[in-house]
Amino acid sequence: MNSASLRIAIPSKGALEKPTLELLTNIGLKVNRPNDRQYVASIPSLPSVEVIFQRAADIYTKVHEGSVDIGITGYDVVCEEDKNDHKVVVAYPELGYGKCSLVLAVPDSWVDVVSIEDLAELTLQWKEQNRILRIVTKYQNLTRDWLFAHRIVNFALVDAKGAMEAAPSMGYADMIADVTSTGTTLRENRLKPIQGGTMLKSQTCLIANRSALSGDREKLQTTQIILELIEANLMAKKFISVTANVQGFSVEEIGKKLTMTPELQEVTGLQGPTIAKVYSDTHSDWYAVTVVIPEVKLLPAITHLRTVGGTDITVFPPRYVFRSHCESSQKLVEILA
Amino acid sequence: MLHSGIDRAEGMPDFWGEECRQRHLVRYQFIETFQRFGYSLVELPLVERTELYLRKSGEDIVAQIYDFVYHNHRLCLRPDVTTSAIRAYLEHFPVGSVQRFCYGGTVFRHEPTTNYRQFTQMGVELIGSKGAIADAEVIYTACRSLQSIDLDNYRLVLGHIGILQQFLRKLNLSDRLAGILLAGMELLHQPGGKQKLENQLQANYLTKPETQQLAEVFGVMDEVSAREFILEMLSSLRIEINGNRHPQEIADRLLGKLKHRDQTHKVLKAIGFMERLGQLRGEPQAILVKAEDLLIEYEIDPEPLRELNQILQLLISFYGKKNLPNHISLDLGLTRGLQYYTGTIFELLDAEGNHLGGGGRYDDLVYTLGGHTSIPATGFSLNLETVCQTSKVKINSILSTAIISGTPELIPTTIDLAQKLRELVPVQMVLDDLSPPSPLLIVVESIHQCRLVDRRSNQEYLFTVPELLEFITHQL
Repeated sequence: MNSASLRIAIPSKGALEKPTLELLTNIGLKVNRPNDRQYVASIPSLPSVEVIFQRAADIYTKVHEGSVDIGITGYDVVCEEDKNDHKVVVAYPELGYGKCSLVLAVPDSWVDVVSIEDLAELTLQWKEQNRILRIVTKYQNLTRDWLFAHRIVNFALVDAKGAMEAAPSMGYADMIADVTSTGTTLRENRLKPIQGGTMLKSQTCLIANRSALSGDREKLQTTQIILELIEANLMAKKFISVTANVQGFSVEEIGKKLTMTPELQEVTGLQGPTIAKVYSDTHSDWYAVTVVIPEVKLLPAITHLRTVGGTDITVFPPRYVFRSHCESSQKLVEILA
Repeated sequence: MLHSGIDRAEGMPDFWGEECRQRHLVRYQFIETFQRFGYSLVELPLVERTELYLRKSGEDIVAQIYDFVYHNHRLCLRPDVTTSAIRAYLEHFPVGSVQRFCYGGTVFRHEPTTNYRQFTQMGVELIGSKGAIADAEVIYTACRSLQSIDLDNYRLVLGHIGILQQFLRKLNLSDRLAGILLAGMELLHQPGGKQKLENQLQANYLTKPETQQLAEVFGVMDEVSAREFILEMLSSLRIEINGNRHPQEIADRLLGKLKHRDQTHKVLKAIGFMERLGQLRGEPQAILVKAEDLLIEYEIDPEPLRELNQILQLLISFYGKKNLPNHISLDLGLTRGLQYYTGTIFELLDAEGNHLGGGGRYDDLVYTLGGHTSIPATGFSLNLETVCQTSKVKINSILSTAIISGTPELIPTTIDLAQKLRELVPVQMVLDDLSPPSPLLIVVESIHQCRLVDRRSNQEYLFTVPELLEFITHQL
């Protein structure tokens, strides 16, 4: 192993492992793991980094205690484990995968409970009968704080044992608080999320140990490299590069045609179209026009290019889109200050 | 990596030096005053069963409890002393007997926005006594306690939670909605508070419900048929009722919910009343006249106003006509945030409006905590931390003295002299090479003679033992 300066924890096993490795590969930081049973790996293109495979649920703790410097895990885990001592900072909040919501769900048969207010009423009615609403969850801190904030206090949290979704039908809890992405598991277990009961929207994020980065310039710089690559790569996912051949007399003439109305600005590139003369043996009047545009604007852009005489239109996804500065890197420095 | 020190838990204060002595002195004066009114000192546990507070403390307090499970028991650090006092009353005394408890103890509330999460409450509970005389005596005890530490510049604000409770009961609102409105009274005091309260209620209580038509359908059916209809509908939709809820409970709640659905009119009426009630603040007699008109308009029993008037008259007797402070006011929008209050409530504020303490009548708490019958009770607590910040109570500086033996042979003589000096001042023996930073240092040089170093004036004296004792006495 190299003399690593930065230790990064990433999820081993579970739903987050594969997309995390894909993300790192996409940004040119492919992880070299000799075999699946090893928990330490390297990144050949960034030798100063040591990769530690951990359960997603443990990554926050590792970053908090400082045994790793940065980590990739779910935002739900970060909020649940948050010790409110500012030792852990979120360096990149939305990595774009592992999306889920933490919801309160009750059995389908509770037709009297549709919204969070209905649930609140139920807890008060039960309080009069000396009954307490039992909620099974792995997210005890988030659930308790959220219910308290909604002035619901007559409940008890039950530790998650095995398949949580089965707890209400088995009788050891009345309802559940859990993460869901599509709602399929809830439906299969005859549970329904309640209106206004979404406690948190989460996706994977990059977290860092504050003192590890603020006290070590080299670690901070390596983290900034990773942030720069992630930000540019995720930004690139929103854009496509479109190139068309357009016939005309001059760069100015084509440029004017492409940008003649303000509405067209959205489909003529981040700063404007790039126009270059196409080299040809014959003295042709063809120009290559390239625009980088939001992917959702692809068809309007194609239509627009056609209206100015565009043809042979090719479309490519860019791998990175670097802006004038790296926003997340700058923010991290501000947070650490 | 891990840092070597261990941080203090957030919100848990350390006290030392002058501040600690001030706290000790205030605590002593308060307990002395409480005892002069016939209250007996009680010491109650810091850890109680969480369930004790879930019954009646109210959402705001419960949300701040340090609640934990230890060996399968749900326990908490007590968030107030009153509830513990009632638990102790039920456990050790005949229900209905009159008991006067006083206490000084730590309570814990997890309030993320404040620096202090550990507080010291000093207070009394008068259990089993009813009537304005009991309320007035408790209020006067609180005021007298503040006067005992020369804190005369306080303001007493009186209110009566019974007015709002009576009005909300008449509206026949759901418990949840009544709770939100009761808590919302505090909001109405703040600028833009009405809008905030309306926003809070908007989504669930101020819109026409989607199920209005369904409510109309069930509205024309009798309860038994409506319940059967719902259960049949569930069964035909193959919705199985499992878990620990009875099908009838679900059907009945659904019916109740449909009946209560459109509460817009009631909510708007409540906010209107609360807004007017909240404006009734100021000089007691003028407010009582205005309040009477409001209560007549809303057909509310004016008994709370009669009680307040009686209490005000009795306070004149307690204070004596000449000494009645002119800083007593009424605030009929006062709620105090705790759900267990049932009658007169009051707060004590310093000149800057900082909250020094408060209390009130809580006649249902004994019943709620398992007493099988309602027992009249009233009490108050003062917050030691804010009282100490406000109080200008004088702390006599202590002339601390250090003593050291000149030679090992003189240690018995030094011990003997230290004992004599302790009758006059605190004395610590220097047991190692480090001399404590006390103003006076005594070096025992022989059986009969010692040298005194006065660090305040940088002077040294040679004294015999009687001369030394005389010098120290003269310094006090």
